Amino acid sequence: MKKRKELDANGKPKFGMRDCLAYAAGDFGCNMSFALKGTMAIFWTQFMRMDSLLYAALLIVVQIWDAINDPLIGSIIDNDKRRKYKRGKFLAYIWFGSIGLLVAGALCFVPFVKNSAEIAKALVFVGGYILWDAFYTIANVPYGSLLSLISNEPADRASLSAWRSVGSMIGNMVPMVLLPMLIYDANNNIMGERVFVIALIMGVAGFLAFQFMIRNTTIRVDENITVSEKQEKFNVIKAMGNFMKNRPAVGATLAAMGMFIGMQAATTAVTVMFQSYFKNVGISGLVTMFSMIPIVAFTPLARKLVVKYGKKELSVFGTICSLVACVIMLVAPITPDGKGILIYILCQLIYALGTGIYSTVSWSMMGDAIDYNEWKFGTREEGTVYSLHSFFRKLAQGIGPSLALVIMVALGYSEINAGNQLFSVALNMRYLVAALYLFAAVMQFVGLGLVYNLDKKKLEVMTKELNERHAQAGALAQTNDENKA
Amino acid sequence: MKKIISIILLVVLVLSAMSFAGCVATGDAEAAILWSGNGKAENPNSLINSMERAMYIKSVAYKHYGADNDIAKQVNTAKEVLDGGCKIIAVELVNAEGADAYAQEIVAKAKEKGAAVIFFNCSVGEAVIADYEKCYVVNADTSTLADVQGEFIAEYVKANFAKMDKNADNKISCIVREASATANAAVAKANALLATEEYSVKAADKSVINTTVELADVELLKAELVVTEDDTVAFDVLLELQKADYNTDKLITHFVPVVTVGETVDYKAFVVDGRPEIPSDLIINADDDSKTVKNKNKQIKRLKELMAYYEANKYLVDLTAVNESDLNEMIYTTVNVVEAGRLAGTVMEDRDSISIAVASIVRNLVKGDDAVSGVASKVKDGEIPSVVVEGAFVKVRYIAYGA
Repeated sequence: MKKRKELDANGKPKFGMRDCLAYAAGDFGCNMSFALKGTMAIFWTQFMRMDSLLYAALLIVVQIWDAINDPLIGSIIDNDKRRKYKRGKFLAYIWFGSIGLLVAGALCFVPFVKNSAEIAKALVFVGGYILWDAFYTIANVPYGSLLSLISNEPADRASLSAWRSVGSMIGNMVPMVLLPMLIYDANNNIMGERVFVIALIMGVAGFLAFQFMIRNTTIRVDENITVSEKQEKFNVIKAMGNFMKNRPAVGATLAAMGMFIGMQAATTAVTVMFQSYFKNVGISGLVTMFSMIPIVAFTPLARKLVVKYGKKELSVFGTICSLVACVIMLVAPITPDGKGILIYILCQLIYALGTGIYSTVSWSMMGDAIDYNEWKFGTREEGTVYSLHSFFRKLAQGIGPSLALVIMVALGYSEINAGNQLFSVALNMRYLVAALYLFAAVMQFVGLGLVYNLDKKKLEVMTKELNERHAQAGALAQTNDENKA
Repeated sequence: MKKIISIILLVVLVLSAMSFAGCVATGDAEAAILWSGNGKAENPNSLINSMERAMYIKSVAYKHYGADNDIAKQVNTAKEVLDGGCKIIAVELVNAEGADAYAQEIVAKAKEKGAAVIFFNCSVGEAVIADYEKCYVVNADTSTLADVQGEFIAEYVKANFAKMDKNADNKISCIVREASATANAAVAKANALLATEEYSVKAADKSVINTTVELADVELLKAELVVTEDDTVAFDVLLELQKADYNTDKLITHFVPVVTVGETVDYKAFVVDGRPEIPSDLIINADDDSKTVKNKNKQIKRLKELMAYYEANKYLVDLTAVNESDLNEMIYTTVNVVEAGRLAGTVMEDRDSISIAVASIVRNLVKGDDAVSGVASKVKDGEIPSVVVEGAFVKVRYIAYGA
C-alpha cells in the first residue's frame, strides 16, 4: 500500500527531508561550475601564460559585467508576472540556466589558445567568462530566492540554509580534493588540458543535480504577495534604495563580501603556497577537505542551536572563532615542513568552524532580510534583494582574486616561474594567506556584530507581525472574491 | 555588546600588527653564507634559493654574500665578516685554480677568531679541513652518482625500448661522450638492472627479453643512446643533433636520447622564431644627450648579448609564445631543456638535501650542540668532519621518447 503523503494546511506536501535534499542538490549543481573558479587564476597565468596584472584587470572587467547582469536578471524575474509556469517561474529559470551550464563552465578553461597572442587569450577569457556568468546567474539568482518560497517557518529556513551549505560543501569538496591530485604534475605545475575536460564532466554532473532539485521542490509561499489592494509599480531605483536602508541585508552582505574578498583572494595565494612553500600542491585538496570536518559535525546541530541561541548570535560566535584562527596563523611558526602543515591544518579547522557556523545560517539570514524588507517597506522584492546581495558578493568575488593577484605580483609572484616560485616569494604567500583570511574574518565580524540587527528577539517580533499581516491579506482577498462572485 | 566587539577587534589588530612587525624585523645574523656567484636568489632552481628555505626551516638568521666568481674577493669578504664578529660562516668556494690555498686563508682566519667554517658544494683538500677541528665540508655523495644515473638509464630503456632500438637488434647502442669512470660505471649499473626480470623489455617480435646497453663505435646520428657526465658537453651534443634536424621542437623529428649530469644555470632564454636584431632607429645620433646615449648603449649591449645567445643556443627550447619582455626574467637550465623534451634526462644534486644539511649544522653550532648531530648524512670515518649527504642526487627525466 502506497504511503500517503502528509499534507499541510494549504494542501501542499509537508516540509521534510525531501525539500532539504532537493535544495542541497541545487547548490551542488551551482558549485559544479563555480568551484572551478578558484583554479582560473593559476590556469590563466601559469598555464596560459597570461600576464598576471592583465588577468587581474580583465577580472575586474568581467566582474563589472557580472555586477550589471545580476540585478538585471533579478528584476526580470521579479517583473515576470505575465506567464504561467508549470512549476513556477523560479524553477523554470533554474532549468534554463542549467542547460547552459552543461558546457559554460568549460568555456572558462579553453586551452587551445595557449600559444596565441595575448589579445586572443584575453578575448577568449572574457567571452568564456561572460557566457558562463550569464547562465550561472540565471540559475543561481532564482535558486537563492527559492529559500523564502519553500517555507516561511524560521526553523524550516534554518534547515534549508544548513542543507544548502551541505550541498555547497559537497559541491566544493569534490573539486577541492580531487582537482589538485589530477591537474598538477610532479613538479607542481598545472596541466591545463585536463582542467578543460574535468570542467565538462562537472557540467554534466551539475545538470543532473539541478534536474533532481527541480523535480523535488515544492513552492509553499505565494510568489506574488499582494499586501494591499493597490499594487505599486515596480521601481528598481527605489528597490535599491530600500536595500541600502535594509540593515540586515547590508550587514549580511557585508559579511558575505568580507568572506569572499578574503577567501576567494586567498584561493590563488593558497595554491601558490602549496606549490612553492610546502612544495606539495597535491595535498592541498586533502587539507581543505580536512578543514571541512567541523562544518560536517556542526550542520546537524544547526537547527537546534539556531532555535536556542539565534542566528545572529551564533554567527558572531563563529566569526570570533575565525578571528582566533587567523591570529594563530599569523603568529605561529608555520614552517615549510610536516610540522608547519599540521599547524596550518589546525588553524584551518578552527577557521572553517567559524566560517561554517556563519555559512550554515547565512542564506536564512538573507531570507530574514527579505522578510525585513516586507516588514519595513511593504514589498518582498526577493529577486531584487537577493540579486543585489549576489551583486555585492560577486563584486567581492571579483575584487578579491584581482586584488590578491596585484598584491601577489607586488610581493614577487611571477607567473613565468609557475609552480616553482622563489622561496622569499613563497614565504610572502604564506603570510598573505593569513592576512587575507584575517581580513575576511574582520569584515564578517563587523557586518554581523555591528550592522546586522535582527537578533533573536527582534526576529520573533518581525515574524509574528508578518504572519498577522498575511492572515489579514488572505481574509481581504477572500472577501473580495466573494463580493465579485 | 558593542563594547565587547570593539575590544575583540582591537586585540586582533594589535596581535596582527605585532606579528607583521616580527616578520619584517631584521635581527643580527647568526651565520654568513658566502656564495661563489652573485649571492642573490634569482632562480627558483638554485642552491641559494634552497638554502633560504632550509635556513628558515631551521630558524637560522643569516646573511648572503656574493663573490661574482672572484675567489680573492671571496676570501676578503670572509675575513671582513669574521673580523665583524660572525661566529659561523658557510662557504661555497669559487671554483678556481689553487683554490685550496684560498680556503686555507679562510680557515686560518676562522681559527684566529674561534669561528666555525662550513665548506659546501665545492671541492676542498682534506689537508685544509684537517687543520681545524671546527671546519666542516658538506657535499653530495658522489659515489652514488653512477648508481643513480645507471638507474635512470635502465628506467628509460625499459619505458622506451621499442622506439630506441632503431635497428631492431635487441640491444641499445650507446656512445659515451668525454668518457669517465662515472659514466662507464653508470652504464654498468644500468646493465646490471636490465638483466633482471623487473627491467625486462618487449622486443620487436613481441617476445619479452632482457636487453643490454652496449658501448658502440657509431656515428652520433646512428646512436640509440648518448651518455655524458657534463651538461655543457650534453648541450654541445644537442646542438650537433639539432643541426641535423634531430631533437627539435618540430611535429615530426628524429630523436637520440641524451642523458647527462648536472644543471647549469647560465643559459638565457630567447625566442626561436624571432632572432633578436638591433632596430634601425636604435642608432646613436650626434645630438643625443648623455643620458640617451647611455640608455641606447645599454639596449644595444643587451640585444647583442641576446643575439649571441640565440646563435649559440637557438634550438634548445621552443619559446615561440614567450614575450620579449619576459626574456630578462627567464633563466633556463638543463632541467628546462629536459622538460622541453630535447634531452632525455639529467641527474643533479638535490639542493634541498645539501641545504638542510648545512642549515642543520649551523643550527647545531648556534645551540652549542655537536655540529653533525641529527644531520641525516654519512660522516666519513676518521678525524675529518666531512659530511657526505646521502641520497643527494635526484633524477630529472623526460620519459616520453622524443618531444
